[in-house]
Amino acid sequence: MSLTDVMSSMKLSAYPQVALGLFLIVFVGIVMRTWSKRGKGEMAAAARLPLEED
Amino acid sequence: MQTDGTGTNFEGERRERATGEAGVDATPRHTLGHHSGRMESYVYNDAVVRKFLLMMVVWGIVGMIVGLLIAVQLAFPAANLGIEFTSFGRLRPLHTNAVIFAFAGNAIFAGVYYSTQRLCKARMWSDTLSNLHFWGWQLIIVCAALTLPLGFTQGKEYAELIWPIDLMIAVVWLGFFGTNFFMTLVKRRERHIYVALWFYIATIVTVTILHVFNNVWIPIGLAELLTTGRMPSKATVLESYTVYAGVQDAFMQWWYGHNAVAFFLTTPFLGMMYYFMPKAAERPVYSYRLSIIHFWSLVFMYIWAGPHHLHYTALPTWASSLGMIFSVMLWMPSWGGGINGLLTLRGAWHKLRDDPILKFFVTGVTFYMMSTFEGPMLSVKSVNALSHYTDWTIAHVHAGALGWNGFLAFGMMYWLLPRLFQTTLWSKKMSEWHFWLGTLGILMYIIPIYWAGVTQGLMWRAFDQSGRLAYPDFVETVTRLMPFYWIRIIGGTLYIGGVLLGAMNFVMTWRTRPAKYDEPVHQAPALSRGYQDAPYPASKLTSNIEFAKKGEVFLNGWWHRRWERLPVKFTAWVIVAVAVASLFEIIPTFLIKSNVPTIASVKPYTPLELAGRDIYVSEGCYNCHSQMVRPIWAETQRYGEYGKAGEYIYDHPFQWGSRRIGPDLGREGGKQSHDWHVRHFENPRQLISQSIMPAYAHLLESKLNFEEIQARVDAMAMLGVPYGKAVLEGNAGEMARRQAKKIGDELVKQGGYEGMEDKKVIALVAYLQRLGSDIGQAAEWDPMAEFIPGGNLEAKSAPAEGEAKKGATP
Repeated sequence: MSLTDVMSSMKLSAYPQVALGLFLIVFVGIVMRTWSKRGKGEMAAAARLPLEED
Repeated sequence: MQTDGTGTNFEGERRERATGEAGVDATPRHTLGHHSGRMESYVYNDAVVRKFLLMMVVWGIVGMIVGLLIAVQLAFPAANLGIEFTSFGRLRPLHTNAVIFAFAGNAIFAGVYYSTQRLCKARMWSDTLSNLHFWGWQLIIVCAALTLPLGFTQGKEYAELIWPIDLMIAVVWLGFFGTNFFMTLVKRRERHIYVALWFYIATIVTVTILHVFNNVWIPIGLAELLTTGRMPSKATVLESYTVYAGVQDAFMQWWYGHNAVAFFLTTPFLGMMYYFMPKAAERPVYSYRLSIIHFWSLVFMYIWAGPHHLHYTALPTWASSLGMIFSVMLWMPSWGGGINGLLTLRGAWHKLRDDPILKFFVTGVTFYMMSTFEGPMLSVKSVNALSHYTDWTIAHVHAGALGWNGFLAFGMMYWLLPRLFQTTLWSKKMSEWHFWLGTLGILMYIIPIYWAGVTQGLMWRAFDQSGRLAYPDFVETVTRLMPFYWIRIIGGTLYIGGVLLGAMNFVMTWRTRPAKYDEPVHQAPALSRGYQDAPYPASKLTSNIEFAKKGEVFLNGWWHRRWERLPVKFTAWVIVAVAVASLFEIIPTFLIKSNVPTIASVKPYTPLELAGRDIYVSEGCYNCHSQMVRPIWAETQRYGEYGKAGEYIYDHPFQWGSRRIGPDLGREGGKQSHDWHVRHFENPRQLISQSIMPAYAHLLESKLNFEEIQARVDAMAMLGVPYGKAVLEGNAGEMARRQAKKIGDELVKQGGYEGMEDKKVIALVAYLQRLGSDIGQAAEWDPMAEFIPGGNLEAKSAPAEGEAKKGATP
């Protein structure tokens, strides 16, 4: 029995959808944290980094 | 310590605070050991930036002139001068590789080396690695420029470079560039890692992953030497077969191909946008938050989008649908990022009037937004049904490459020139001219080519009132495009004219450089070794359970701000995101049988056909001919039965193509006589007066190397292709000779040329006559039986291994 046989018998057709769900959750988490109230000053400071020196 | 001209003076102490939790939270900083490190001095390595910037211009001109040459060839085929080395199929990969990896590549390296040092407040970690990186990359480009016109190619779009160059790329990209970059991050003196650097991190790790996994191959000659001890021929030493076949190869290739667009032409340029646009506009990016969302959205979504290049092909529908959905989703973050770039100019739009640098940047970002709207649109299946295989794709990529990559690179060049050469720009007026010539050039390129694409797409699918194809002769749909092709040539010439002005400006600015470059010494405190991030703040929740309090703290996102200061962890998470997404997509395609149903009558190519296929790959036929008939009425009417996954299982590499400048060849087998093919190769215009195909008269003259066919067959057998008796030493060459003799005799009977049986053309004809014909055969047929030394009986008593499996038939 090859790996292909094993994988084929595992009925993985929902596999990509699960991945889609996982990624969506992580993504929503990042959006929420990015717009959380804290860290506004930190964001402003970070945004100024390129302007610091030449 | 310099000021930024707006009154903010960033002292070391303050920066430590600023990058922590500036002024928002009064949580005391918890540190071990020193509060901040001792003051250190450093000098930037701008010499390497100057070198990369110069080569960006040089290779830009070379790559674009090759592009112009092949554009002329499409309108006027004789422009290849009848030389095999300058035929369209060989030069088109040279054009794409030169503009992507040489022009855009050197632009990326110039931008990354300049900005990384400033953002990290550190010199690049190793001058030796910087130089090895520079010279190594130029060597790769030179090798590419030599091998591609000679016909050495892997036959996969944007991954054409042969295996020894693949290895060089891996070493230079990750070994030299990657190491140098990551060590600079580790040794940086600025705690926070600015968003541009995140884009660079994603670029370096993802391109490494893509490059390595798309280039898993068996070198034909080397395998021969190692397994049999025979000295391989010169050609087979440089050739290889990819381990992937057919659908899987297509899938890997476009997973690579689309992400090359994403992580070579998009993320590094976005990093540069996030650094150089604020610089040029003299104000910070509009929204730092948006840039974070932009970054993670691209990292999460881009990796899935590749299959949109394979709509309506034999790729499983679920993969293509997933590719479409993620591509449509990509529109939003891309526009978010584009708007973020444009709004960086808030309150400074008046500067646009007389600052050519901002003109380049703003127009570049506008083209980014145009391309990232168009990309999702083209990935919608119903739009793709029309656009795929037409010039619409060509117009789309040139809007992106000339508008986004080109203009961002040139805007950056004009910003860098006076700073790198410590003088003033030689002629601002000339840079204005560059901008306007370039803009006009792009429009005169893309508008006619959009027109050409839609025109040809509509002509292919047009039926007359009796239900027959309105334009049954393919060449009719090509001839109609000629006026557009001539206008494109004018557009391309204008764009190159602009670049030449830029080159002149570069040289003249360089000539006014000081005798010795001033190398200012900067100072910043080292990041203290004992630095420890502030502890997570206490939850504001009072009467909840411990879990809820932890959750509240988590949702405030402190963890992400910690990552942002930890390059290794950050990089690891980018790798996880990219790898997980890739695996979720790739593993099912490779391991679930139902995705690639086998067809009993599909057999391996005979040794001669295999040699012919290798010529097909080497000449770059896939640049103009697809081998994938889509299940669309107009296509099955024109070409025959649509392509099925099981038909391509012996195709290392797949040759489905992406553009039909000539007709699809997926069902070419048996459509024309041998004589037709030979005369067509000799000069296509002997048979089709309006054809724009190059003449391949050299194939009728140069001899086929029968001796090396054994090595080709053996390498295929190693990949699991059931070659049976053909792998016995000497058999493959002999079988090829017998089949060549047979075809040569048939050719003469058809009134064709004599003496073709030992020429390359005979192998190519053998391959074309086989293409797509297997599904019409009986399940037990054996294309090789009649050529095996010892005869049919012997062959029948020893059936090729692995053919017993009978899967689903169409």
